[in-house]
Amino acid sequence: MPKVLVTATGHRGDDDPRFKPLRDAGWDVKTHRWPGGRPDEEEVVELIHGYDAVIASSNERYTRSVFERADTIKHVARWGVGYETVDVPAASDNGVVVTTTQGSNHWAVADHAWTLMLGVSRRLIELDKIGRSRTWTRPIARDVWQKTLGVVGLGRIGKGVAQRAFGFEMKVVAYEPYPDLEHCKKWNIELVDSIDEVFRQGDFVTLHAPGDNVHVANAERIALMKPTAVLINTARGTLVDEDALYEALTSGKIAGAGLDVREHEPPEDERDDRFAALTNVILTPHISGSTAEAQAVSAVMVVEQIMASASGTMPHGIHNPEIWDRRRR
Amino acid sequence: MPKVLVTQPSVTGVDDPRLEALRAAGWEIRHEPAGARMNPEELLELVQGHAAVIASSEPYTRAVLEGADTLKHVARWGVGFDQVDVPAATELGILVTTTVGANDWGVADHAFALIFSLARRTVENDKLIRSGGWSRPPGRDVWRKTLGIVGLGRIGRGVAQRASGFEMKVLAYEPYPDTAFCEKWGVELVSLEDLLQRSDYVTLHAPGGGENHHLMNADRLALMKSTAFLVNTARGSLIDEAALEAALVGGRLAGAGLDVREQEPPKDTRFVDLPNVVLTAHMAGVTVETSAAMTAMAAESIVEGSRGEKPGGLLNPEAWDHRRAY
Repeated sequence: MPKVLVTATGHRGDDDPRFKPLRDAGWDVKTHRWPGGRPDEEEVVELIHGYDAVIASSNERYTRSVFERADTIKHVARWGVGYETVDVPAASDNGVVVTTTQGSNHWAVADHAWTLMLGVSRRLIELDKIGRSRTWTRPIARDVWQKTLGVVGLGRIGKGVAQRAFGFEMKVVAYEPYPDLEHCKKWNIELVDSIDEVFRQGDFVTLHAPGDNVHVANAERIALMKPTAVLINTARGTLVDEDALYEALTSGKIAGAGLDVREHEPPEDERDDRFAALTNVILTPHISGSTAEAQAVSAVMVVEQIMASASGTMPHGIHNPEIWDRRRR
Repeated sequence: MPKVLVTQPSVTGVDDPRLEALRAAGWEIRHEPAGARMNPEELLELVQGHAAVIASSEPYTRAVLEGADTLKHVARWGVGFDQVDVPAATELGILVTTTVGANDWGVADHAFALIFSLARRTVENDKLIRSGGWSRPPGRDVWRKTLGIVGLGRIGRGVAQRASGFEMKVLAYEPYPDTAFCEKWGVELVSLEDLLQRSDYVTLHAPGGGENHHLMNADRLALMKSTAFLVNTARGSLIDEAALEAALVGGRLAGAGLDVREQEPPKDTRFVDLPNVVLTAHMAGVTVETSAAMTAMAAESIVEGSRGEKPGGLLNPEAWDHRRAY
């Protein structure tokens, strides 16, 4: 009987009805919840050894040594779209299939970028605090309507964010090296020549570029922003130079920020905690892709992926298709 | 040279750029911030000698209007006029205007801000992180969900239009609909009951008072899905708050976003401890941009009235023919 372990935080225990197709196909499904913090290599190997597949959270790291020692593992299926915690070349060297549930939450991330834009511009955290009191002061918010939205990166998520601006009658400027011109035309998106230009023009600047664009929002670019502008990051923490952002937020060089992702997740030290003292930021714990609806879609997807690869069909969302013919069996 | 008194605190001063229409027409401007705490006697003393006022929420009672015999125009900064005795003003030939239309877009933006903060549990999540936590409660989609709009006036229409980029199904209840608008933006007109039963997000944009008092009573709240959210940026009287509290505590409704309350500011602690409620202090229509627009509109309406043109936002056109002369 093949065995799969679920460490992904979205599970609801061994009897989770969403894993029924696996159980019906003869899989032994076990679930695990880490107590908190990041487990070390030893703990990961000990936990997963003996299983055929893992439906993995982003808590544990799949290093070369983990793949070498946990030699029963044939498939690491991330329940999520990030795979920073998986050493994919090492997985490939060891014949382990790596998948993510890519495409299962892009709409939720785009929604969340809007949650942060509206939340920061309408000062919702401050206002809710006041609203829960009996003394109503009224700190003044800013419009979103007919403002300029700057989008860095027009992949699936960036396109979704841009399209959502339509009914708000916003001007949308975007930087994208490989643009979908039809989409840009349909939603009236103006392509600009440089990332700098997006920072210069946007009343809201939202980042939707891959995580290897380290510090795309650096001190120089942040300095180009309007003093009334707001920076939004729902993509990857590496995109923002947090020192530069903190300086800009505390000196009034920009008006605010909405951060769903951070350089360290969860925050580790006092430098990370600085942002918690600011009233002009909204902080959320990397949940932009996490809605009940997106989780339902990705649960179906991850189960299909496990069953596909076990039955000899290359699964959707595979990150190392080149090893398919020499995968562990 | 006619004199105008500006009591609205958010006007920055006599040199506020948005008062340009008055300056250009040669008005003498005095800025004395006032508000609801001022009593009628103080107000009469302050307003006497002025031809017009850009008014905050101080009380324009019959006694004040009768006593202020130089006053020809009360231009309310904002859309409410509870503090102005309009029948008395009409009788006396005093024009009363509001800056209706100059903050619609702010209210429509705010309705969406509340929808998202409920769907994505923003307040809760932000609080969690600031206290060192990193548990990650999932939210709900807005994308392609069903939005129910109660009242398709200017603000309701603005909300409907904003939903388009989110590919939402938009339902609306409106007795006198603009059918061309509904067609253009794909709005389906339905009964109130139908709307409440089908919507994932319900947002109120109906007038308060009269038969709309407690429009959202226990029976109507019970029609909503238990996973649905209710947003009110219109008038506090539209919702029976006791019934809403019971529905929220009982898990029969997923959450509520309230910018307006039955009593403002509230004297009780209702909703204060509920994590699935977002409360803002009647701020939906007030942004940097709408404030500027409201100041400009009030200034222009005064200039128009003084030139014998019917001003925008006039509440008592029946006073026009016997208005006090400049």
